[in-house]
Parts: sequence; structure tokens; C-alpha cells
Amino acid sequence: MKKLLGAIVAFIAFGAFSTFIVVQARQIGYNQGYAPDQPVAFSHAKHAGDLEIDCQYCHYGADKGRHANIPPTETCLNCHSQVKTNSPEIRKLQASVDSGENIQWVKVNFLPDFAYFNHAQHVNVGGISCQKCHGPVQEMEIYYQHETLGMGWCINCHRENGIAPPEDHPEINDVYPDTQDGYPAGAHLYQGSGNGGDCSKCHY
Amino acid sequence: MSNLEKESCGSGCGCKPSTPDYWQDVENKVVSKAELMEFPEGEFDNFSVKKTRRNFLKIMGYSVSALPLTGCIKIPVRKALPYTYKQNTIIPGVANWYASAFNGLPVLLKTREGRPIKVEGNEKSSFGQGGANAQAQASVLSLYDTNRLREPSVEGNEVSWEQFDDSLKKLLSEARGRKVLITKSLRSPSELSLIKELSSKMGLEHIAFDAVSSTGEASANSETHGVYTLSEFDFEQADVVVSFGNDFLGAHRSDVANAKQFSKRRNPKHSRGMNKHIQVESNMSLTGSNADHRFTRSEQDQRDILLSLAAEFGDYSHMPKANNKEVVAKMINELKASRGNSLVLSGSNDKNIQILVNQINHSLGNYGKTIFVSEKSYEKLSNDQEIEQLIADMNSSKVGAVFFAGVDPVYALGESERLKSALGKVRVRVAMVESASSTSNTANFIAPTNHVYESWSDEMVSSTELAMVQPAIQPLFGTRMWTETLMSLGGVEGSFYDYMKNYWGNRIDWNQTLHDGVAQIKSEKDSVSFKLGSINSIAKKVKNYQEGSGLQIIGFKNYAIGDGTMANNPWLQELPDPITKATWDNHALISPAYAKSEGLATGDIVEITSGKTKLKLPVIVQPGVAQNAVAIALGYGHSVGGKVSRNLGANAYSLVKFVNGSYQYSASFGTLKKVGTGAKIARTQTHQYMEGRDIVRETTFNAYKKNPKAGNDKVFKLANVDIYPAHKKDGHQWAMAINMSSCTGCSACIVSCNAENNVPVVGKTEIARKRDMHWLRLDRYYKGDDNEPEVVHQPMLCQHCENAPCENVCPVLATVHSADGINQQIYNRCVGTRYCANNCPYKVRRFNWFNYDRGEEVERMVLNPDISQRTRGIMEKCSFCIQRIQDGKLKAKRERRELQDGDIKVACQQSCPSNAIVFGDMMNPETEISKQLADERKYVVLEELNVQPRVNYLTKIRNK
Repeated sequence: MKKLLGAIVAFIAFGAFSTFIVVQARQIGYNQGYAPDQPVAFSHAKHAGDLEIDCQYCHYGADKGRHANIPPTETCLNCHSQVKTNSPEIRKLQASVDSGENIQWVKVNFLPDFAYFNHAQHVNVGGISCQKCHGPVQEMEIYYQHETLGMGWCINCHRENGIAPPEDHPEINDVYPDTQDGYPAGAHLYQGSGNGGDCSKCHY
Repeated sequence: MSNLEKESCGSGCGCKPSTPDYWQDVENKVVSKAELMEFPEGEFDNFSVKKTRRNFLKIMGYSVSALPLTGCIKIPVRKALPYTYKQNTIIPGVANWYASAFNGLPVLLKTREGRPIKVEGNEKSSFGQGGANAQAQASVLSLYDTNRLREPSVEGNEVSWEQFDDSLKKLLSEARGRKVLITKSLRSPSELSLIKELSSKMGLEHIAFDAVSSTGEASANSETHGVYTLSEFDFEQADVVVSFGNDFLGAHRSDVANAKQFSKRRNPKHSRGMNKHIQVESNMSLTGSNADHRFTRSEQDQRDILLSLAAEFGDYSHMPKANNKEVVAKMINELKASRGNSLVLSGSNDKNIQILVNQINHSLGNYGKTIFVSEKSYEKLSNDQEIEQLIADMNSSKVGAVFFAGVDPVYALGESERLKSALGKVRVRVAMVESASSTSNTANFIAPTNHVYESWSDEMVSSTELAMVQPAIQPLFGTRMWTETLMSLGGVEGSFYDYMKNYWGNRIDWNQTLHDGVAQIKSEKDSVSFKLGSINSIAKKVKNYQEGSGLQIIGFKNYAIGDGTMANNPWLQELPDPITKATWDNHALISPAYAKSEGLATGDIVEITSGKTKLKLPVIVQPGVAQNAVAIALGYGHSVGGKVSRNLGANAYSLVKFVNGSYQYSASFGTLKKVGTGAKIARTQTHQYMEGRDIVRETTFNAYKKNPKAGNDKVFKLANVDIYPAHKKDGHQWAMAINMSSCTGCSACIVSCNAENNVPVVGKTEIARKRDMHWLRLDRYYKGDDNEPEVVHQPMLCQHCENAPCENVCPVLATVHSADGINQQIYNRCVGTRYCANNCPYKVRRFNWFNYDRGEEVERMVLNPDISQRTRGIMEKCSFCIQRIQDGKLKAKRERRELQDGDIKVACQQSCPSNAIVFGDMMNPETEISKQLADERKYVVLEELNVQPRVNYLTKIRNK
């Protein structure tokens, strides 16, 4: 009896441990919720929310190229050469422009080197709003990573929007089964050249 | 017939293997079939890691338990640095293109975030027509060469530019005698104007010096046309091209322009038909390997043949030697049939030979049609006599100051002690160079100069076309343009940019010319009239030319390294020579017959002695070298310079002789003695054989005219069964066609691919272990006789098979097929089993045995940021430039339009100087690729395997 109990406990423990490993392993490299301190206390809630400044006023590359880019310090001073010039935070900007040394922002969203992502493809061609991936930025006092930015998350969105992996590559569904929720694999096939499901669309 | 050959047709259709007469190199031509099957030496060494089940479980258990721990580790803080000041022209992630020129070739520079990362030919140029050769492609890596000099120095001490100018001015004012500026041959109108201004201000004389001189040709034109200049050609108009050792498709000069014109006439559908190319040479050159008729003849025999032609077409009488009669008769026949549409060329630097060539072209009425000599007021060409005179003047202390601008005469005169000691008598020696050289080591003032992509200049690339050179990046180091160094000495105010702009004034539309990179200054090439009367006395001189005795030593420029100026470029060092397929070294090339008679073999080490000069080199037995000759590539054996080039090979310039008013590269004779064996020769292709399969299909022009399918009529009965469902074919389907008739084998595509795809350089040792990383290789096959073989070049890259054998053996789905027909290699899935490479019938997959990235900050600036850097243990291969496909599609989508044919050009296709590669969507019947795929000449390699490649070839056609 004791032996059986021991075996059951061992089995449950092994099961729990394995589940833990699998769950943890899937999270490796995901930084959802990452909200590091920034060298300048910049509030997106203030600028994008209250003041309703267009995202692309600062992140002007999002529509044109691969990177949305972080604005040059000079862009801040377009207004802040007049507005709140005495704030200690704004003085940091002025000091940067005076000395020529750039502000060392801490990168929040990043993809691994082997994943290619192009903002223009999504913002310009896809017409997707920034919030779709970056969350309610207009409400963020401190900017944080809203989504996992993992591959399953990417693929899921492509499925929802009919830009899914092609039918003859169901293997992707085996790799990321959790992305199938509600979407039969291969239901939405690629549209002409718009197919977003091939590996080398992002990995090269 | 061996089993192997019977099996060569996988479908078992019983067809007879064809073309068994191709062979790869001389040694292997004679080995038995049994030996051929052995694994190449070193291929499977050292696989003796202890693998036990227990060890495996230990490691497995550890790594699984350690895995969740990685989830607890805090991600490292990464910085995102914006520009401080807004850059109006730079959008991060979007490439900017600048027009410039490199060594007489108009190019476009792709820059990313201010860094030049890729060179392409400028399609607006009517001269280069969008092609780019290996040197131009590789030049962007030289920009980031860590061996470049960074600060000016005086007598070995680093100084500021102000101190440099002050002390140089002071010393110059004390110097007595000639003040001489030595540049390479200059065709820059504004630089020449500046030098002219300085010559009146400071008494500066200007001499041009080229490592490999063309004084012979220029002097000949001076006698026959009264202009000291080089001829220009129009190969498209030439029905017959007869070349005496002139490597016009390779290293000779303006190879891109020549290949663009020449390749048009290699198309059997050209309205005037194919041209006929006859080459007579003493060493197998790239050009010779493409000839319809190639004859291996010694230099002496070449003179004999030339004299016979001169006799036929001039007032001279000469009877060819018995062994040359057939060649002469053939040439005369062909040339007579196409008077006015032919071209005779010689690669010799002997004035008299070039005069004879001019006379023959004149008699044939070729001037003004296929060959042009025009008055050019904007060029200063090298003249070997001037440099010899200068050395004499230095020795008699008549020279007070020398300025070297980008030239290395001490090296290029063979580490000349004569020049070194002469320089010792000159008070002021200024070296304006990019990196330390043998010459700069003798200088007391070193003024590091900008790389061309950091400089302003201009250049007449032909007699009608001006190219602009504009900087694409701020100087990386504390360097200064050599023109500005001269300006500050001569007291010319402003920058060289101001000077240039002022020089051109209203003569060109400045902004438009900068934008386009080129401007047409004149509408047409003119040709001055022929002046020479009789050739009798010249022909006599040629006839009475005194040969030496013994083994003739031929110095030649090879395709990759050229004259050695770019020897410190690892892309070029690792580029296999199109003929020998050797990398990272120069060799003594000897003929098979000579090797046999002397008992020599490839890999033996020999000492070549000529007078006081001794060179030690490994032997390569090279078919197509004249029997009593040894050919050695110039440009190697740098004793000073960067770590890439230093002490690689031997300096063959030491065998160059000054004869008859010019430097001659095959005027030395000597002896050859075996001193060792077992030299490691890093060749990329000795282990590939056709094994009786028709990998190359070829035919003759006459057969083609009767039947366009000639040579390509083999039908394989392929079973139409597959265990996998067929791929859907809709949307775009990418395919490639390679025209074997146009391809010259020049290998520019390889460097282009390296630059575009971050292909690493692995070095000599790894190449020798057959671990080369080039995604694209050029297979070279010989056919026929040892002495005068026919040569075939075949670009071989991932064939993107529809039934890809690599895909179904990958255990981790790292190589899968895409919906648009690309065989994808996914680096982040790859675990490095190498099953795919094993199963690839084309052997085009490359494995990263090491991390080849050295982490050198400056060198890494050349990397293409759109492509990941592969790490150790990853398989990689041609991706059909997937990043360019994606970029082209995105551009079309952003502009809300359909993708057009030509929107996407892959790197190898774009740089190809002979337009041999076509890429595009085969589902659209209007595209160029669809037309090529419908051509009767189309075939696929190893069709019998039924892997259905997407890369197609067009049969090679020889006009014989």
C-alpha cells in the first residue's frame, strides 16, 4: 500500500514537474509586462493620451520601414524648447542636444535576431493600429510590453486575419497547437503574395 | 562501364550515360574509377568522440532539468539609442543609395544607417550597364579594413594634420630638385586640373605608375594614331574576335563593359548571330576558357602567328612555323570574312607587338567600328620610361621630394632594392596611402588617405562618359583625401568638393550628375586617323626579338587579386580562381606535359630561379599552359601590409623586366627545381566529377541552327509518382535560369552573394578541409586534350528542388518548402545534423563548423542587417535572396500595385557582367524567366533524379 502511495506521489510529482518544465520552457524569451526604468521619465499617457499626439509624429519610421524608431532628441525639443523647460527631465533632453550625446533608452520590445519584423508591412500595408500589438499605449504612464511577441502570438493574428500558414504546411500547427483556438488549421490560405505563414517570411 | 555509370540514370530507363569525356583536373584524369570513389582525404577525420548511452543520458537529464531555470533569468538590459539630431535623409531600416565609381566602374552604394554595405553596378551607365566585377563588389569590405592607417605621422611619430602640414611645408621649402607626384593612371578631370594648378604653384611634376602597366599599348597608339592613350572597343559589333593572350573578359581592363558587350553576341538569337572568339595564349586565362577556339602557344609562337597575320594584311612577308600554319589559316579565313567587323587584340605590353595589332585592325577596317582611339584631354596614363627616369634622377640626387598617392611602386617593382636605395637619396618622401605598404615604409611623411567611398572625385570611365565619386560615409578614421593634402600644401583654399564643383561650373548639371552617378559628356566615340605607313621595320624588330633560354616565366593578373592592390581583402582572397579553383595563394602553373617530363605533380614545391631572383611556390598542373613555361599570378607575396595579404604566396613582380621602353611580364627566363612536396593547396573544386552524367549539355552553333534542341534532346522517362502530395502552384513561383553560353565563369556573382548574405570567410586551412562557405560556386570542367582543353563554367547553387531530397531527411523541419517554391533553410530550427547536406545531390549546402564572426567592430559594419549571422552548428545555403523577394513585394504593396517582372533581382543576377542569370516568377507568362523556361535549350541538372529543380540551365553553345 505504502509502495503504491509512493508510486502515485512520485507519478504526480513527475507529472507536475514535467508540466512545469513545459510551461516554463514555452515562456523562455517572452517578456510580457516588461517595464524597465527609463533614463527620462516619459509618459505615453500624457503625450499619446491626453495630448493626442499622433504616434508617427515621433515614431516616423513605422509607416516607411522596418523600424518604428525612437525619436531623435531634437524631436522632443520641437515643443520642449518652449514647454516645461525648467523640468529636470526636460533639462536632460536639452543637455543631450547641447552635448550631442544621445539618450540611452532601455529597449522594451525586442525580437530575437533570427526573426525579421517589418513595421511598414503591418502599419502601411496591413493598416493595423499600433495598439493592436503594443496595447493601450495612450494609457501607459510607464511603457511596458503588452503582448508576448512570441511566434504563436504572431501566427494567431495572421490566422485571424486570413494571412495564415499554407495548407501544405500543417506542421506549424503541431508546433504551436495553442494558436489553433477557433481557427481550423489552414482555413484561411494565403492571398497571392500576402502569405505570412512560410518560415522564411520572417526567418532568414 | 562501371556500376556507377549504369546507376547514373536513377529512373532505370536504361539510357546510356553521355558525355563521359569531361574531366576535372589532370591528376584525376588518369586515376582509376576505384580511386575516384574514395572519400577525399581529410573529409572524415577525427570523429572519435566517446559516445556512450550513459553519457548521453547524463547530459540529457541535466539539460532538461536546467531548462526551466533559464526562465528565471532576468533578461539583459538592452539599450535603444536614437539619433540626437534628426537625420532628414535617414530612416532607420531603410536603405539609401548613393552613386559613386570604383576603379573606372560606375557603381551604386547601398547604405544602411550611414554604412555602405553593398555595391551594385550603376544601370544608368552606358559603360558598365549595371554590372559589377568581383573587385568592385569586394571594395566595400576594404572600406572597413582594420589595417587602414588612422592618423598622419612624421618620421614615425603620430601628429595632428596641422603639425603634419607645417613640418612638411618646412621641409619642402628646404628640398632642392624635382618635386614629383606619383599616382596611378588618372582619368579624373578635376584631379588633373588640380595637379596642373599645383604644378605651376609648387613646381610639382606628375608621373603615373600602374603596377601592371599598359605603356606598350599606349605607346603603340601614340605611333599609329599620334595619341598616347588606350583603345576602346565595341565587342558587340565584332563578329570575330582574335585575341593574343588578352584577358579582356577577366583581369585585363574594363572587364564589365567588355563582358556586357561580348555576352550579347554569345546569344544564338542575336540578329547578327553568335560571334566567333579565337584565343591564342600561353596560360589558361578566363577569357581563353571561353573561347570557341583556343590554342596553347608559347610567347614566341604567338609572335610568329601575329607576324603571319601582319604579313597577310600588310606589306610584309613572313611564313608561319609548321605548327602554327593551321592556326594562321583559320584566323585569316575568319578575319577576311568579316572585314570591318572583327577585332584583333593582344595582351602584351610590348609596343612593337601592339603596333602590329593596330596595323592589322587598320587593314581590316576595324577602326571606327569595333575599335576606337580618341583624343582625351583628361587622362594621365602611366609611362614606364618616366618612372625609370625618376629612379635614375633620384640616384643622382636630382629629386627633392616624392609624393606617392595610392601607389606602391616598391612592391610592384618586386620589393626593388634599386628603388629603395634611390629613395634614400630623396629628402621628402610622402606616402598618401590607405594602409601601410612597402612604399610607405620608406616614407618619412605618411598621410593616410580616405577610401574611395569616403572621397570626392570624378572619373572619365570611357571617352564619352563621366562618373562621379561621392562619399557615402564620413571618414572612419583620422584620414584626409590625398587631393586635400596636396591642396593644403599648395595653398589652394577650400575643400576638394568646392574645387570640383567650381571646376565643373555650368558644364554639367551638378545635382543631376550626382544623382545619376554618370553623365554623357560626348555623344559619340570619335576615332583619330591612322598615321603609320610601313610596318616593315617594326615587324623586323618583333621577328628578331631575343628570347632568353630555359623556362619562360609568365606573370599574369588573376581575376580575384588583380595587380595586388586589393590583396588584403579576404573576400577576394577566398574567391576561387576561375581556372585553378585555388584560393589564398599563388602557384607555379605548369603544363601537364612539362609536369610529366620533370616528374612534378600538383602540391610539389618548386624553386624558380631567374638571375638573382628565387621564388618558392607550390605547383599546380594546369592544362592550357604552354609547354616550356611557368605561369605565376602577380599581386601576391606582400611583405608589408595587412594581416590578410602578408606573406601569402610569392611576389612575382620581382621577375618583371624593363625591356624596349616598358615593363614586360613574360620576359624572364629561368630554371625550376623541385624542393619539396605536400604543399597544402586550398582549392574548392577538385572533388567533383561528372561521373558520366550530362551535368553540362552543350552543342555547336551550326548544330543549333539546324536544331535548337541540339545537345539537349535527351528524354528521361520519369515515373510520375511521389509519396508526398505535390506542391500547389499558385501565387508567385520563383525560378531561375542560367545561360551557360553567356556565363564566362568570372565569379563576380560569388562575391556579390557573399556581401548580400553575410557569408563568412573561413580561411585557407578550412578551405583546404573543403569547408568553404560560398552559397554559389562555379564548377569548372575540362574536355578533350590536356594541352588545349575546352573549358566549361557552371554556376551551381541551391537548385530549390520541388521534390527536395534535403527536406524529407531533416529531423527538425528546419528545411521546408515555401508556398512560392523556395527551399527554405530556417537557421533557428536547425540543430546541425547535416543529413540534408548528405542527401543533397548538388552538394550546395554549407555547414558552419565554427563561429566565423570575429566580433571586430569595424569589420562588422559591412554586414547586411536584414540577414541573421549564422552561428556554429547551423546549415546554410542559397535562399534565392529571400530578403530581396520580401523587400520587392513589400515595395509593390506599399505602392499598391502588382509586382512587376524585374522588381526583384537576386544578388548574383544583379551583378552578373554577362547577364547570364535570370530570375523571376514562372507563373506569369510575360516574364523573362517564363520565356527562358520555354527555350529549347533549357535543361535541369540531374534531371534523372526527378527532384525537379527550380534552377534551370540553357545549353552551352560554342561557335565552332
